[in-house]
Amino acid sequence: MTDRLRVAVLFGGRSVEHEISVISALQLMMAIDPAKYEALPVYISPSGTWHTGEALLDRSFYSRVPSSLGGLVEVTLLPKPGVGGLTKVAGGGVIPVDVFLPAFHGQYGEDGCIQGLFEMAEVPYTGSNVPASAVTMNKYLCKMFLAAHGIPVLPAAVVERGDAQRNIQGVVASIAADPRFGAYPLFVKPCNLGSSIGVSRVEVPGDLAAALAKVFRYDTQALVEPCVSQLMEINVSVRDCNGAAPSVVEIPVSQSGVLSYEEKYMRDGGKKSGQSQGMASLTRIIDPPDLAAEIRDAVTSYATRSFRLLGCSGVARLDFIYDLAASAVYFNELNAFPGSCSFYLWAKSRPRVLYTELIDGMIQAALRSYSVVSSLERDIGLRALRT
Amino acid sequence: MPSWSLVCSWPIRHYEAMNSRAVPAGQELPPVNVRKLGSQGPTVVMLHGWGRSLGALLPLGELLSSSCRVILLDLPGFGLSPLPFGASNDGGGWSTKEYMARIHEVLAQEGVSRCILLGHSFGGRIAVRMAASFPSLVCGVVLIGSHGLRRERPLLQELRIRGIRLATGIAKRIDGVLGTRLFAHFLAPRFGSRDYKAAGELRKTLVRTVNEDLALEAQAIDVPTLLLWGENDSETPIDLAHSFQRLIAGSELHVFPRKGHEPFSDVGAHLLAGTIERFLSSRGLNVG
Repeated sequence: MTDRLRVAVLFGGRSVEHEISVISALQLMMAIDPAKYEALPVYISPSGTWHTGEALLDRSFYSRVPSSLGGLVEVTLLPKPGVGGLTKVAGGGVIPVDVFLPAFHGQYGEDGCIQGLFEMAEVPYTGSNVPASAVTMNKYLCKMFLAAHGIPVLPAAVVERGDAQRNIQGVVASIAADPRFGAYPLFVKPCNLGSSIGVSRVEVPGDLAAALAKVFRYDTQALVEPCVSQLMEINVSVRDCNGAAPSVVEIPVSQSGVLSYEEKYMRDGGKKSGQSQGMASLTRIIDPPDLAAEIRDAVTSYATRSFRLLGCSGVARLDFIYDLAASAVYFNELNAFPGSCSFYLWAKSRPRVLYTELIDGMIQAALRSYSVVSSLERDIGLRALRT
Repeated sequence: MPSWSLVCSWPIRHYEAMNSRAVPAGQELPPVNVRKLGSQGPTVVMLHGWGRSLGALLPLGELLSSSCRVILLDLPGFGLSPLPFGASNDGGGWSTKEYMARIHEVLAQEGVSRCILLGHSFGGRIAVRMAASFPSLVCGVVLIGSHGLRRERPLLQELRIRGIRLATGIAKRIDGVLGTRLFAHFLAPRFGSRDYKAAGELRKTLVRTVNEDLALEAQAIDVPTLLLWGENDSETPIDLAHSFQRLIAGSELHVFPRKGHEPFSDVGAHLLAGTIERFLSSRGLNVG
């Protein structure tokens, strides 16, 4: 066990998806191959402090935050190369780390922020890099980028929080006049969040302001999209494995038509006290046998193309909408670090990929990528300053 | 999920119940509920632990089914397999010998001539006995948190157990002579294990199997054997794994940090499936 790589699994963070990240990370650390890797849990508290310690592996720890943080070692990652790991805040010693595995959902962890810190510190890290993370986190930018490359997307408009605060009537009127949206209902959701937080289905124009206000509690940009009346959601995971490889597809099953946070992450809609296993506990049809091959192929093809075009790495999940009336597939969004790493899809894929192998693949890809980036020449000497 | 036979004796309705409906004496042995997965590779027969059913090992079986033919079964008296009269309290209870014989019959009915036995906990006892008794049938063994060996206990614990056994003997004699219920009303509720209290019609089977020491059988195992243990297993602590490793020549032990008596639960199934597949491959057992 002495040759094991130490993998710092970072989770929590300053995002509304904080607890989903905790669930994903705890699950991931239970599946990481202990013969090859030593998982070092690193928890970023809601206030932004970084902590490590064995107690983080106990799920009950998190219900006692912040008082439980006292027993942990506070650490940080300095934004300079060559440190070799995490620096202890008290005393300044270094805890060696070989690879960083960010297991965040949402802002600061999945949007390029922490990836930027990894780049500054020049450490190997799993998942997508700064630009891919930043673009995929912003639903509008992502859709516009992919649309420019021929991937079908539904029309969308962005409402800035400031504009809405200044003139909500004007915003509502401009959306009502937008010919791309047609009749209500519309979907209104945060532009930079996942996990279905802040999502509303707006049935009449009079409800639009309330839906926007709900979004602006969490985000500074709201995305407005038409509502496909007869739709089927189809998700697929893609990972980089000698190129972009797709998993089997899934059809998540929703009781209300829109997957809520409770449906995604809490068993029985949160009515019972069972432990959530994150996205793995959602009701879904995996690899539906009666899904038409052309729909499945279209989704898979658009997904692998999108993954490559955006420059993603690691494991992503891409969500599509199938318009049953128009028989058309639309890209909806991309999760650069999906809940439960979408392992439940890979377990049913052909060839099957175990969660353990999925994590192994992410870490090995990170090391390969690091070795390529490290080999790039950065120092061209003084030229302009010398003259 | 690929399936080389879709035969499933009964639909799976529940997983954890012990089946206390004893089939009356004199009747044929009741059927054993079998579930088969996978279409290629070696045959892996999975035997669950006490008080559980095939459902406990199903997630692991599903993962293995991409490279193996998997046979999961509800042990007689558990899950959806009815309780044979012999295994009931009135029938005197079964030892692992009877369980072994019944599984041997089921495998013959299924046309299995060579297989890898995977046993968890109580299922491990049966796997150990079968591997020692049927070397031409069993070509590999996987034991997960297995029972089957008598543990060396600290002196105080040993004295306590001996004291309970002595008291039990005395109480049963008094009950026999005076018609009292000292054992049932006083001793069992205070000193019986959780399994003992919940055993119901399988209580005599539990007592018979718990008291078996399969050290000689373990020593006789002459096929590749993989031992998988949770570091925090309090039911079959890690010293049992080391004892098995000493007894079974060439056996390979993997200890999983931070896992307990069921290291295959939740995403642990992925860890164990990979370890099992690598083991089968390294020992040339990955072909059907």
